[in-house]
Amino acid sequence: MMGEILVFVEHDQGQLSPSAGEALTAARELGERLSQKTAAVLVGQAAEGLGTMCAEYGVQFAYCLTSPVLSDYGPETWGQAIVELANQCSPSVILSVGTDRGNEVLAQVAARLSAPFAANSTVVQRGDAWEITRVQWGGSLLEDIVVDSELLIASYNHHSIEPAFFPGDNEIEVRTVEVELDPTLGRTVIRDRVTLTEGVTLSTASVVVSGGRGVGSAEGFAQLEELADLLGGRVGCSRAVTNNGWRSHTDQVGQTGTRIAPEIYIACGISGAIQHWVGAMASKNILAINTDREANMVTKAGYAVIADLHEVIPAVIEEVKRRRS
Amino acid sequence: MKVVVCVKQIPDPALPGELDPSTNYLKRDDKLILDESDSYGVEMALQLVESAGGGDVSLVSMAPNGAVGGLRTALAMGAEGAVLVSDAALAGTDALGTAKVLAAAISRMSPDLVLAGVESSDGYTGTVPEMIAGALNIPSITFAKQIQIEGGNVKVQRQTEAGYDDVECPTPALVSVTAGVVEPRYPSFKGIMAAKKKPVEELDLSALGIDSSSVGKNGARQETVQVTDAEERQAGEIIEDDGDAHEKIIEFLGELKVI
Repeated sequence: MMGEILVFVEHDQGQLSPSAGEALTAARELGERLSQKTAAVLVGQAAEGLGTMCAEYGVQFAYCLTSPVLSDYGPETWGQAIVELANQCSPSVILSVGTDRGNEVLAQVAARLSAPFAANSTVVQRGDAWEITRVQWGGSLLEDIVVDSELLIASYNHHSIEPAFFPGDNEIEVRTVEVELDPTLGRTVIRDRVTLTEGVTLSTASVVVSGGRGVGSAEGFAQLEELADLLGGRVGCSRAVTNNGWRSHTDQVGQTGTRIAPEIYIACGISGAIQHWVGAMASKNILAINTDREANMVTKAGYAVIADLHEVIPAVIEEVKRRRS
Repeated sequence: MKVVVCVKQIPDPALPGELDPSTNYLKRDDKLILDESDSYGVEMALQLVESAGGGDVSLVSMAPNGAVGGLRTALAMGAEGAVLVSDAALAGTDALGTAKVLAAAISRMSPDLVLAGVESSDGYTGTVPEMIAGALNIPSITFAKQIQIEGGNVKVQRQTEAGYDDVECPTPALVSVTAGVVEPRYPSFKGIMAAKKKPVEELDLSALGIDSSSVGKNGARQETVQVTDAEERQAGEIIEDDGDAHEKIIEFLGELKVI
Protein backbone atom coordinates (compact mmCIF):
# COMPACT_ATOMS: atom_id res chain seq x y z
CA MET A 1 0.00 0.00 0.00
CA MET A 2 1.17 3.47 -0.77
CA GLY A 3 1.88 5.96 1.96
CA GLU A 4 -0.02 9.08 2.83
CA ILE A 5 -0.04 12.50 1.15
CA LEU A 6 1.62 15.25 3.13
CA VAL A 7 0.79 18.84 2.30
CA PHE A 8 2.94 21.69 3.59
CA VAL A 9 0.66 24.43 4.89
CA GLU A 10 2.35 27.79 4.78
CA HIS A 11 2.12 30.25 7.64
CA ASP A 12 4.17 33.04 9.15
CA GLN A 13 4.29 33.17 12.95
CA GLY A 14 0.95 31.39 13.12
CA GLN A 15 -0.68 33.55 10.45
CA LEU A 16 -2.02 31.27 7.71
CA SER A 17 -0.81 32.20 4.22
CA PRO A 18 -3.44 33.11 1.61
CA SER A 19 -2.04 30.23 -0.48
CA ALA A 20 -2.91 27.64 2.20
CA GLY A 21 -6.41 27.14 0.79
CA GLU A 22 -4.94 26.25 -2.59
CA ALA A 23 -2.57 23.72 -1.04
CA LEU A 24 -5.24 22.05 1.09
CA THR A 25 -7.82 21.94 -1.73
CA ALA A 26 -5.32 20.38 -4.14
CA ALA A 27 -4.13 17.85 -1.57
CA ARG A 28 -7.63 16.74 -0.54
CA GLU A 29 -8.59 16.33 -4.17
CA LEU A 30 -5.45 14.27 -4.91
CA GLY A 31 -6.10 12.16 -1.80
CA GLU A 32 -9.60 11.38 -3.04
CA ARG A 33 -8.36 10.43 -6.50
CA LEU A 34 -5.63 8.15 -5.14
CA SER A 35 -7.72 6.88 -2.18
CA GLN A 36 -5.00 7.92 0.21
CA LYS A 37 -4.94 9.59 3.57
CA THR A 38 -4.10 13.30 3.33
CA ALA A 39 -2.39 15.10 6.17
CA ALA A 40 -1.58 18.78 6.59
CA VAL A 41 1.92 19.60 7.83
CA LEU A 42 2.12 22.55 10.20
CA VAL A 43 5.65 23.55 11.16
CA GLY A 44 6.37 25.08 14.56
CA GLN A 45 4.50 25.57 17.81
CA ALA A 46 2.96 28.79 16.47
CA ALA A 47 0.96 26.78 13.91
CA GLU A 48 -0.70 24.51 16.46
CA GLY A 49 -4.01 26.37 16.33
CA LEU A 50 -4.32 26.25 12.54
CA GLY A 51 -5.80 22.74 12.41
CA THR A 52 -9.43 23.91 12.41
CA MET A 53 -8.78 26.10 9.38
CA CYS A 54 -7.28 23.11 7.56
CA ALA A 55 -10.45 21.15 8.39
CA GLU A 56 -12.56 23.67 6.47
CA TYR A 57 -10.93 22.40 3.29
CA GLY A 58 -11.80 18.80 4.13
CA VAL A 59 -8.40 17.62 5.31
CA GLN A 60 -8.90 15.32 8.30
CA PHE A 61 -5.39 14.88 9.66
CA ALA A 62 -2.61 17.26 10.56
CA TYR A 63 0.86 16.94 11.98
CA CYS A 64 2.17 19.82 14.00
CA LEU A 65 5.97 19.62 14.10
CA THR A 66 7.55 21.17 17.17
CA SER A 67 11.11 21.82 18.30
CA PRO A 68 12.82 24.74 20.03
CA VAL A 69 14.67 25.31 16.72
CA LEU A 70 11.36 25.91 14.91
CA SER A 71 10.43 29.10 16.75
CA ASP A 72 10.62 31.16 13.54
CA TYR A 73 10.83 30.48 9.81
CA GLY A 74 14.00 29.14 8.24
CA PRO A 75 14.17 27.09 5.03
CA GLU A 76 16.73 24.65 6.45
CA THR A 77 15.03 24.04 9.79
CA TRP A 78 11.57 23.75 8.24
CA GLY A 79 12.89 21.52 5.47
CA GLN A 80 14.70 19.22 7.88
CA ALA A 81 11.62 19.06 10.15
CA ILE A 82 9.57 17.77 7.21
CA VAL A 83 12.35 15.30 6.39
CA GLU A 84 12.15 13.98 9.97
CA LEU A 85 8.39 13.54 9.63
CA ALA A 86 8.81 11.85 6.23
CA ASN A 87 11.27 9.41 7.79
CA GLN A 88 8.62 8.45 10.35
CA CYS A 89 5.51 8.18 8.16
CA SER A 90 6.94 7.24 4.71
CA PRO A 91 4.66 9.44 2.57
CA SER A 92 4.11 8.82 -1.14
CA VAL A 93 3.70 12.51 -1.93
CA ILE A 94 4.85 15.77 -0.34
CA LEU A 95 3.00 18.78 -1.76
CA SER A 96 3.02 22.55 -1.45
CA VAL A 97 1.93 25.57 -3.43
CA GLY A 98 4.75 27.08 -5.47
CA THR A 99 5.04 30.31 -3.53
CA ASP A 100 8.53 31.58 -2.63
CA ARG A 101 8.35 29.77 0.68
CA GLY A 102 6.53 26.69 -0.60
CA ASN A 103 9.18 26.08 -3.24
CA GLU A 104 12.20 26.78 -1.09
CA VAL A 105 11.09 24.56 1.76
CA LEU A 106 10.35 21.64 -0.56
CA ALA A 107 13.63 22.24 -2.44
CA GLN A 108 15.38 21.73 0.91
CA VAL A 109 13.32 18.58 1.51
CA ALA A 110 14.17 17.27 -1.98
CA ALA A 111 17.89 17.99 -1.58
CA ARG A 112 17.95 16.32 1.83
CA LEU A 113 15.99 13.24 0.73
CA SER A 114 17.63 13.21 -2.70
CA ALA A 115 14.17 12.92 -4.23
CA PRO A 116 12.96 14.54 -7.47
CA PHE A 117 10.97 17.77 -7.12
CA ALA A 118 8.43 18.83 -9.74
CA ALA A 119 7.97 22.53 -9.08
CA ASN A 120 5.11 24.72 -10.34
CA SER A 121 2.87 21.87 -11.50
CA THR A 122 -0.64 22.22 -12.82
CA VAL A 123 -1.57 18.53 -13.03
CA VAL A 124 -0.46 15.63 -10.80
CA GLN A 125 -1.59 12.13 -11.75
CA ARG A 126 -0.51 8.62 -10.94
CA GLY A 127 -0.27 6.09 -13.77
CA ASP A 128 2.53 3.53 -13.93
CA ALA A 129 4.70 6.41 -12.81
CA TRP A 130 3.87 9.96 -11.72
CA GLU A 131 2.54 12.01 -14.64
CA ILE A 132 2.98 15.71 -14.09
CA THR A 133 2.29 18.82 -16.11
CA ARG A 134 4.31 21.83 -15.03
CA VAL A 135 4.82 25.33 -16.35
CA GLN A 136 7.97 26.58 -18.07
CA TRP A 137 9.05 30.02 -19.27
CA GLY A 138 6.93 31.71 -16.65
CA GLY A 139 3.78 29.87 -17.68
CA SER A 140 3.84 30.34 -21.44
CA LEU A 141 4.79 26.69 -22.01
CA LEU A 142 3.48 23.51 -20.41
CA GLU A 143 5.86 20.63 -19.89
CA ASP A 144 4.59 17.07 -19.44
CA ILE A 145 7.00 15.03 -17.39
CA VAL A 146 7.12 11.51 -16.02
CA VAL A 147 8.67 11.12 -12.60
CA ASP A 148 9.95 7.71 -11.67
CA SER A 149 10.23 7.74 -7.90
CA GLU A 150 8.55 6.11 -4.92
CA LEU A 151 8.32 9.52 -3.29
CA LEU A 152 7.01 12.45 -5.31
CA ILE A 153 7.76 15.98 -4.18
CA ALA A 154 5.71 18.56 -6.07
CA SER A 155 4.45 22.10 -5.79
CA TYR A 156 1.33 23.38 -7.50
CA ASN A 157 1.75 26.48 -9.63
CA HIS A 158 0.59 29.41 -7.49
CA HIS A 159 -2.90 30.63 -8.45
CA SER A 160 -3.65 27.55 -10.58
CA ILE A 161 -5.90 25.93 -7.95
CA GLU A 162 -9.23 27.45 -6.94
CA PRO A 163 -9.48 27.06 -3.14
CA ALA A 164 -12.73 25.33 -2.14
CA PHE A 165 -14.21 24.83 1.30
CA PHE A 166 -15.43 21.32 1.94
CA PRO A 167 -19.12 21.15 2.91
CA GLY A 168 -20.27 19.57 6.15
CA ASP A 169 -19.07 19.32 9.73
CA ASN A 170 -15.38 18.77 9.24
CA GLU A 171 -13.28 17.35 12.02
CA ILE A 172 -9.54 17.19 12.12
CA GLU A 173 -7.16 15.13 14.20
CA VAL A 174 -4.02 17.13 14.98
CA ARG A 175 -1.04 15.11 16.12
CA THR A 176 1.89 16.96 17.65
CA VAL A 177 5.21 15.48 16.60
CA GLU A 178 8.31 16.56 18.44
CA VAL A 179 11.21 16.48 15.98
CA GLU A 180 14.90 16.25 16.88
CA LEU A 181 16.77 18.96 15.00
CA ASP A 182 20.42 19.93 15.04
CA PRO A 183 20.42 23.44 16.61
CA THR A 184 23.15 24.61 14.18
CA LEU A 185 20.55 24.39 11.39
CA GLY A 186 18.89 27.45 12.92
CA ARG A 187 21.67 29.72 11.70
CA THR A 188 19.45 31.79 9.40
CA VAL A 189 17.64 34.29 11.58
CA ILE A 190 14.83 36.76 10.78
CA ARG A 191 15.73 39.94 12.72
CA ASP A 192 12.79 42.08 11.66
CA ARG A 193 9.72 42.12 9.42
CA VAL A 194 9.22 45.45 7.67
CA THR A 195 5.83 46.32 6.17
CA LEU A 196 5.89 48.82 3.34
CA THR A 197 2.37 48.35 2.01
CA GLU A 198 -0.58 48.28 4.40
CA GLY A 199 -3.73 46.36 3.53
CA VAL A 200 -4.05 44.38 0.33
CA THR A 201 -0.89 43.55 -1.56
CA LEU A 202 -0.49 43.38 -5.30
CA SER A 203 -0.64 39.59 -5.30
CA THR A 204 -3.81 39.40 -3.19
CA ALA A 205 -5.70 42.45 -4.54
CA SER A 206 -8.99 41.66 -6.30
CA VAL A 207 -8.62 44.68 -8.57
CA VAL A 208 -5.33 45.76 -10.11
CA VAL A 209 -5.13 48.94 -12.18
CA SER A 210 -1.88 48.79 -14.04
CA GLY A 211 -0.06 51.24 -16.28
CA GLY A 212 2.57 50.89 -18.96
CA ARG A 213 4.64 53.11 -21.18
CA GLY A 214 1.43 54.68 -22.47
CA VAL A 215 0.88 56.41 -19.12
CA GLY A 216 3.72 58.68 -20.16
CA SER A 217 5.06 59.91 -16.81
CA ALA A 218 5.23 59.31 -13.07
CA GLU A 219 2.56 62.00 -12.61
CA GLY A 220 0.30 60.17 -15.05
CA PHE A 221 -0.13 57.44 -12.44
CA ALA A 222 -2.17 59.77 -10.21
CA GLN A 223 -5.26 58.93 -12.28
CA LEU A 224 -4.59 55.22 -11.96
CA GLU A 225 -4.10 55.62 -8.21
CA GLU A 226 -7.44 57.39 -7.95
CA LEU A 227 -9.25 54.72 -9.94
CA ALA A 228 -7.60 51.93 -7.94
CA ASP A 229 -8.64 53.63 -4.67
CA LEU A 230 -12.24 53.96 -5.89
CA LEU A 231 -12.34 50.27 -6.81
CA GLY A 232 -10.57 49.09 -3.66
CA GLY A 233 -7.59 47.87 -5.67
CA ARG A 234 -3.88 48.37 -6.08
CA VAL A 235 -1.75 49.99 -8.75
CA GLY A 236 0.63 47.86 -10.77
CA CYS A 237 2.90 48.62 -13.67
CA SER A 238 4.95 47.14 -16.46
CA ARG A 239 8.69 46.94 -16.66
CA ALA A 240 8.97 49.92 -19.01
CA VAL A 241 7.57 51.99 -16.16
CA THR A 242 10.08 50.84 -13.53
CA ASN A 243 12.90 51.21 -16.07
CA ASN A 244 11.85 54.84 -16.52
CA GLY A 245 11.80 55.33 -12.76
CA TRP A 246 8.09 56.23 -12.70
CA ARG A 247 7.20 53.53 -10.14
CA SER A 248 9.18 51.32 -7.80
CA HIS A 249 9.97 47.69 -8.61
CA THR A 250 7.55 46.50 -5.90
CA ASP A 251 4.69 47.61 -8.18
CA GLN A 252 5.93 45.68 -11.19
CA VAL A 253 3.74 42.90 -12.56
CA GLY A 254 5.55 40.25 -14.56
CA GLN A 255 8.13 37.54 -14.65
CA THR A 256 10.68 39.73 -12.88
CA GLY A 257 8.03 41.27 -10.65
CA THR A 258 4.88 40.10 -8.92
CA ARG A 259 2.57 37.45 -10.35
CA ILE A 260 -1.01 38.43 -9.74
CA ALA A 261 -4.43 36.80 -9.96
CA PRO A 262 -7.08 39.51 -9.41
CA GLU A 263 -10.76 39.33 -10.32
CA ILE A 264 -10.04 42.06 -12.82
CA TYR A 265 -6.84 43.39 -14.29
CA ILE A 266 -7.19 46.82 -15.89
CA ALA A 267 -4.17 47.21 -18.17
CA CYS A 268 -3.75 50.83 -19.27
CA GLY A 269 -1.29 51.60 -22.05
CA ILE A 270 0.47 48.25 -21.63
CA SER A 271 1.57 46.50 -24.81
CA GLY A 272 1.75 43.11 -23.09
CA ALA A 273 5.19 41.65 -23.82
CA ILE A 274 5.49 37.99 -22.84
CA GLN A 275 7.47 38.86 -19.68
CA HIS A 276 4.57 41.03 -18.52
CA TRP A 277 1.89 38.64 -19.67
CA VAL A 278 3.15 35.73 -17.57
CA GLY A 279 2.72 37.88 -14.46
CA ALA A 280 -0.84 38.85 -15.40
CA MET A 281 -2.15 35.72 -17.14
CA ALA A 282 -3.79 34.30 -14.00
CA SER A 283 -6.17 37.30 -13.86
CA LYS A 284 -9.80 36.18 -14.08
CA ASN A 285 -10.84 39.10 -16.28
CA ILE A 286 -8.73 41.50 -18.26
CA LEU A 287 -9.75 44.94 -19.46
CA ALA A 288 -7.21 46.52 -21.79
CA ILE A 289 -7.22 50.22 -22.57
CA ASN A 290 -4.85 51.02 -25.40
CA THR A 291 -4.62 53.17 -28.50
CA ASP A 292 -2.98 50.31 -30.40
CA ARG A 293 -5.49 47.78 -31.66
CA GLU A 294 -2.68 45.32 -32.43
CA ALA A 295 -1.13 45.38 -28.93
CA ASN A 296 -0.69 41.92 -27.41
CA MET A 297 -2.68 42.92 -24.37
CA VAL A 298 -5.62 43.93 -26.57
CA THR A 299 -5.59 40.63 -28.44
CA LYS A 300 -5.60 38.64 -25.18
CA ALA A 301 -8.01 40.72 -23.10
CA GLY A 302 -11.60 39.61 -22.60
CA TYR A 303 -12.60 43.24 -23.01
CA ALA A 304 -10.57 45.86 -24.81
CA VAL A 305 -11.21 49.53 -25.38
CA ILE A 306 -9.31 51.31 -28.14
CA ALA A 307 -8.97 54.73 -26.60
CA ASP A 308 -6.58 57.22 -25.06
CA LEU A 309 -6.30 56.31 -21.39
CA HIS A 310 -5.75 59.99 -20.50
CA GLU A 311 -9.27 60.75 -21.72
CA VAL A 312 -11.12 57.64 -20.74
CA ILE A 313 -9.76 57.06 -17.20
CA PRO A 314 -10.80 60.51 -15.88
CA ALA A 315 -14.24 59.97 -17.44
CA VAL A 316 -14.55 56.59 -15.70
CA ILE A 317 -13.47 58.15 -12.40
CA GLU A 318 -16.09 60.91 -12.76
CA GLU A 319 -18.82 58.40 -13.52
CA VAL A 320 -17.94 56.13 -10.57
CA LYS A 321 -17.96 59.17 -8.26
CA ARG A 322 -21.26 60.44 -9.69
CA ARG A 323 -22.93 57.09 -9.09
CA ARG A 324 -21.70 56.93 -5.54
CA SER A 325 -22.66 60.46 -4.53
CA MET B 1 36.08 38.51 -0.23
CA LYS B 2 35.40 35.84 -2.78
CA VAL B 3 31.98 35.75 -4.44
CA VAL B 4 30.87 33.01 -6.80
CA VAL B 5 27.85 33.69 -9.02
CA CYS B 6 25.86 30.83 -10.53
CA VAL B 7 24.87 31.72 -14.06
CA LYS B 8 22.79 29.92 -16.62
CA GLN B 9 23.18 30.30 -20.36
CA ILE B 10 19.85 30.00 -22.12
CA PRO B 11 18.41 30.30 -25.61
CA ASP B 12 17.30 33.82 -26.49
CA PRO B 13 13.94 34.43 -24.73
CA ALA B 14 12.77 36.28 -27.83
CA LEU B 15 12.47 32.79 -29.37
CA PRO B 16 11.22 30.77 -26.43
CA GLY B 17 10.68 27.10 -26.16
CA GLU B 18 12.17 25.62 -29.28
CA LEU B 19 12.45 21.94 -28.61
CA ASP B 20 14.38 19.23 -30.25
CA PRO B 21 11.56 16.91 -31.43
CA SER B 22 13.74 13.82 -31.03
CA THR B 23 14.63 14.38 -27.36
CA ASN B 24 12.07 16.95 -26.16
CA TYR B 25 14.86 18.96 -24.57
CA LEU B 26 15.14 22.66 -25.15
CA LYS B 27 17.34 23.23 -28.18
CA ARG B 28 20.64 24.58 -27.01
CA ASP B 29 22.63 24.48 -30.22
CA ASP B 30 21.83 28.08 -31.11
CA LYS B 31 23.79 30.88 -29.55
CA LEU B 32 23.22 30.91 -25.82
CA ILE B 33 22.96 34.13 -23.89
CA LEU B 34 23.26 35.07 -20.23
CA ASP B 35 19.92 34.50 -18.50
CA GLU B 36 18.68 37.95 -17.55
CA SER B 37 17.67 36.60 -14.10
CA ASP B 38 21.35 35.92 -13.44
CA SER B 39 22.60 39.32 -14.59
CA TYR B 40 21.22 40.74 -11.34
CA GLY B 41 23.37 38.30 -9.35
CA VAL B 42 26.45 39.30 -11.34
CA GLU B 43 25.74 43.01 -10.79
CA MET B 44 25.09 42.48 -7.07
CA ALA B 45 28.38 40.56 -6.71
CA LEU B 46 30.35 43.29 -8.48
CA GLN B 47 28.79 45.96 -6.25
CA LEU B 48 29.55 43.95 -3.09
CA VAL B 49 33.19 43.50 -4.02
CA GLU B 50 33.49 47.18 -5.00
CA SER B 51 32.04 48.37 -1.70
CA ALA B 52 34.22 45.91 0.25
CA GLY B 53 37.20 47.56 -1.43
CA GLY B 54 38.53 44.34 -2.88
CA GLY B 55 37.81 40.77 -3.67
CA ASP B 56 37.00 38.54 -6.53
CA VAL B 57 33.88 37.68 -8.51
CA SER B 58 33.92 34.32 -10.28
CA LEU B 59 31.25 32.57 -12.27
CA VAL B 60 30.14 28.99 -12.28
CA SER B 61 27.98 27.48 -14.99
CA MET B 62 27.01 24.15 -16.44
CA ALA B 63 26.35 23.23 -20.07
CA PRO B 64 26.42 19.98 -21.99
CA ASN B 65 28.14 21.51 -25.02
CA GLY B 66 30.88 23.86 -23.83
CA ALA B 67 28.89 27.02 -24.61
CA VAL B 68 30.50 30.21 -23.30
CA GLY B 69 28.51 33.04 -24.97
CA GLY B 70 26.60 33.96 -21.81
CA LEU B 71 29.70 33.64 -19.65
CA ARG B 72 31.56 36.13 -21.83
CA THR B 73 28.80 38.68 -21.24
CA ALA B 74 29.16 38.31 -17.45
CA LEU B 75 32.97 38.45 -17.75
CA ALA B 76 32.61 41.64 -19.80
CA MET B 77 30.52 43.11 -16.96
CA GLY B 78 33.54 42.62 -14.71
CA ALA B 79 33.76 39.08 -13.33
CA GLU B 80 37.34 37.81 -13.10
CA GLY B 81 36.97 34.29 -14.39
CA ALA B 82 34.64 31.37 -14.79
CA VAL B 83 34.37 27.67 -14.19
CA LEU B 84 32.29 25.84 -16.77
CA VAL B 85 31.27 22.28 -16.08
CA SER B 86 30.78 20.81 -19.51
CA ASP B 87 30.22 17.18 -20.32
CA ALA B 88 28.11 15.46 -22.96
CA ALA B 89 26.74 13.24 -20.17
CA LEU B 90 25.02 16.28 -18.62
CA ALA B 91 22.26 16.46 -21.27
CA GLY B 92 18.87 15.96 -19.60
CA THR B 93 20.08 16.67 -16.06
CA ASP B 94 17.24 17.62 -13.68
CA ALA B 95 17.27 20.35 -11.02
CA LEU B 96 18.68 18.08 -8.31
CA GLY B 97 21.48 16.83 -10.58
CA THR B 98 22.28 20.41 -11.64
CA ALA B 99 22.55 21.45 -8.00
CA LYS B 100 24.84 18.52 -7.24
CA VAL B 101 27.19 19.37 -10.13
CA LEU B 102 27.29 23.10 -9.37
CA ALA B 103 27.83 22.42 -5.67
CA ALA B 104 30.83 20.21 -6.48
CA ALA B 105 32.33 22.94 -8.66
CA ILE B 106 31.62 25.66 -6.06
CA SER B 107 33.21 23.74 -3.20
CA ARG B 108 36.53 23.72 -5.13
CA MET B 109 36.36 27.53 -5.28
CA SER B 110 35.87 28.05 -1.48
CA PRO B 111 33.80 31.24 -1.71
CA ASP B 112 32.58 33.43 1.16
CA LEU B 113 29.34 34.03 -0.67
CA VAL B 114 27.48 32.25 -3.45
CA LEU B 115 24.94 34.29 -5.41
CA ALA B 116 22.29 32.99 -7.80
CA GLY B 117 19.23 34.29 -9.60
CA VAL B 118 15.90 33.37 -8.07
CA GLU B 119 14.85 31.20 -10.99
CA SER B 120 15.88 30.63 -14.57
CA SER B 121 13.73 32.13 -17.29
CA ASP B 122 13.44 28.88 -19.23
CA GLY B 123 13.22 25.83 -16.95
CA TYR B 124 11.63 27.95 -14.26
CA THR B 125 11.76 25.54 -11.35
CA GLY B 126 13.24 28.10 -8.95
CA THR B 127 14.64 25.27 -6.86
CA VAL B 128 18.30 24.97 -7.85
CA PRO B 129 19.73 27.67 -5.51
CA GLU B 130 18.12 26.11 -2.44
CA MET B 131 19.27 22.65 -3.53
CA ILE B 132 22.86 23.90 -3.98
CA ALA B 133 22.77 25.25 -0.42
CA GLY B 134 21.39 21.90 0.73
CA ALA B 135 24.15 20.01 -1.10
CA LEU B 136 26.89 22.29 0.29
CA ASN B 137 25.26 22.31 3.72
CA ILE B 138 25.52 26.09 3.97
CA PRO B 139 22.77 28.49 5.06
CA SER B 140 20.70 30.20 2.39
CA ILE B 141 18.57 33.30 2.01
CA THR B 142 16.36 33.74 -1.05
CA PHE B 143 14.76 36.73 -2.79
CA ALA B 144 17.35 39.26 -1.66
CA LYS B 145 16.77 42.88 -2.61
CA GLN B 146 19.75 44.19 -0.67
CA ILE B 147 22.88 42.43 0.64
CA GLN B 148 25.49 43.56 3.15
CA ILE B 149 28.51 41.65 4.39
CA GLU B 150 29.49 42.45 7.96
CA GLY B 151 32.25 40.48 9.58
CA GLY B 152 31.42 36.83 9.19
CA ASN B 153 27.75 37.51 8.56
CA VAL B 154 25.61 38.29 5.56
CA LYS B 155 22.65 40.61 6.17
CA VAL B 156 19.88 40.54 3.62
CA GLN B 157 16.67 42.40 2.98
CA ARG B 158 14.53 39.54 1.81
CA GLN B 159 11.62 40.68 -0.35
CA THR B 160 8.17 39.78 0.96
CA GLU B 161 4.73 40.60 -0.42
CA ALA B 162 4.17 43.42 2.03
CA GLY B 163 7.73 44.70 2.29
CA TYR B 164 10.86 42.90 3.40
CA ASP B 165 12.37 40.83 6.20
CA ASP B 166 15.78 41.59 7.67
CA VAL B 167 17.46 38.18 7.61
CA GLU B 168 20.95 37.28 8.71
CA CYS B 169 23.17 34.21 8.55
CA PRO B 170 26.87 33.39 8.85
CA THR B 171 29.11 33.02 5.79
CA PRO B 172 29.77 31.02 3.72
CA ALA B 173 26.19 31.28 2.56
CA LEU B 174 24.09 31.18 -0.59
CA VAL B 175 21.87 34.14 -1.43
CA SER B 176 19.48 34.31 -4.37
CA VAL B 177 18.96 37.76 -5.85
CA THR B 178 15.51 39.02 -6.87
CA ALA B 179 15.33 40.16 -10.48
CA GLY B 180 15.12 43.92 -10.98
CA VAL B 181 16.61 45.05 -7.67
CA VAL B 182 19.82 46.37 -9.22
CA GLU B 183 20.51 47.70 -12.68
CA PRO B 184 22.91 45.31 -14.44
CA ARG B 185 25.68 47.36 -16.06
CA TYR B 186 26.19 47.28 -19.80
CA PRO B 187 29.57 45.82 -20.66
CA SER B 188 31.91 48.55 -21.91
CA PHE B 189 33.90 48.08 -25.11
CA LYS B 190 37.00 47.69 -22.96
CA GLY B 191 35.19 45.13 -20.84
CA ILE B 192 34.14 43.13 -23.89
CA MET B 193 37.70 43.06 -25.21
CA ALA B 194 39.11 42.10 -21.79
CA ALA B 195 36.52 39.34 -21.40
CA LYS B 196 37.95 37.50 -24.40
CA LYS B 197 41.18 36.93 -22.49
CA LYS B 198 39.69 36.09 -19.10
CA PRO B 199 40.11 32.50 -17.95
CA VAL B 200 37.27 30.02 -18.42
CA GLU B 201 38.25 26.75 -16.78
CA GLU B 202 36.40 23.87 -18.36
CA LEU B 203 35.82 20.83 -16.18
CA ASP B 204 34.23 17.53 -17.02
CA LEU B 205 32.41 15.28 -14.59
CA SER B 206 35.41 13.10 -13.84
CA ALA B 207 37.40 16.18 -12.78
CA LEU B 208 34.67 16.81 -10.20
CA GLY B 209 34.59 13.18 -9.14
CA ILE B 210 30.96 12.81 -10.19
CA ASP B 211 29.77 9.50 -11.62
CA SER B 212 28.30 10.32 -15.03
CA SER B 213 25.45 7.82 -14.52
CA SER B 214 24.23 9.84 -11.50
CA VAL B 215 23.46 12.90 -13.65
CA GLY B 216 22.13 13.57 -17.15
CA LYS B 217 19.24 11.62 -18.58
CA ASN B 218 20.13 8.47 -16.63
CA GLY B 219 20.49 10.18 -13.27
CA ALA B 220 17.33 12.23 -13.70
CA ARG B 221 14.21 10.61 -12.39
CA GLN B 222 12.16 13.15 -14.32
CA GLU B 223 11.74 12.76 -18.03
CA THR B 224 10.16 15.32 -20.32
CA VAL B 225 7.48 13.73 -22.52
CA GLN B 226 6.41 16.82 -24.40
CA VAL B 227 6.20 20.59 -24.20
CA THR B 228 3.22 22.50 -25.55
CA ASP B 229 2.10 26.10 -25.73
CA ALA B 230 -0.01 27.08 -22.76
CA GLU B 231 -3.53 27.82 -23.90
CA GLU B 232 -3.58 31.30 -25.39
CA ARG B 233 -6.42 33.55 -24.42
CA GLN B 234 -8.68 34.54 -27.27
CA ALA B 235 -9.44 38.19 -27.85
CA GLY B 236 -12.82 39.14 -26.44
CA GLU B 237 -14.91 42.14 -27.23
CA ILE B 238 -13.03 45.09 -28.70
CA ILE B 239 -14.67 48.52 -28.41
CA GLU B 240 -13.60 51.53 -30.49
CA ASP B 241 -13.96 54.77 -28.57
CA ASP B 242 -16.80 56.84 -30.03
CA GLY B 243 -16.83 59.15 -27.06
CA ASP B 244 -18.77 56.71 -24.88
CA ALA B 245 -15.96 54.27 -24.05
CA HIS B 246 -16.07 55.24 -20.37
CA GLU B 247 -19.74 54.23 -20.20
CA LYS B 248 -18.93 50.84 -21.70
CA ILE B 249 -16.17 50.40 -19.14
CA ILE B 250 -18.55 51.31 -16.32
CA GLU B 251 -21.03 48.76 -17.65
CA PHE B 252 -18.32 46.09 -17.81
CA LEU B 253 -17.12 46.84 -14.25
CA GLY B 254 -20.73 46.70 -13.15
CA GLU B 255 -21.18 43.22 -14.64
CA LEU B 256 -18.15 42.08 -12.66
CA LYS B 257 -19.66 43.70 -9.56
CA VAL B 258 -16.54 45.81 -9.06
CA ILE B 259 -18.75 48.89 -8.79
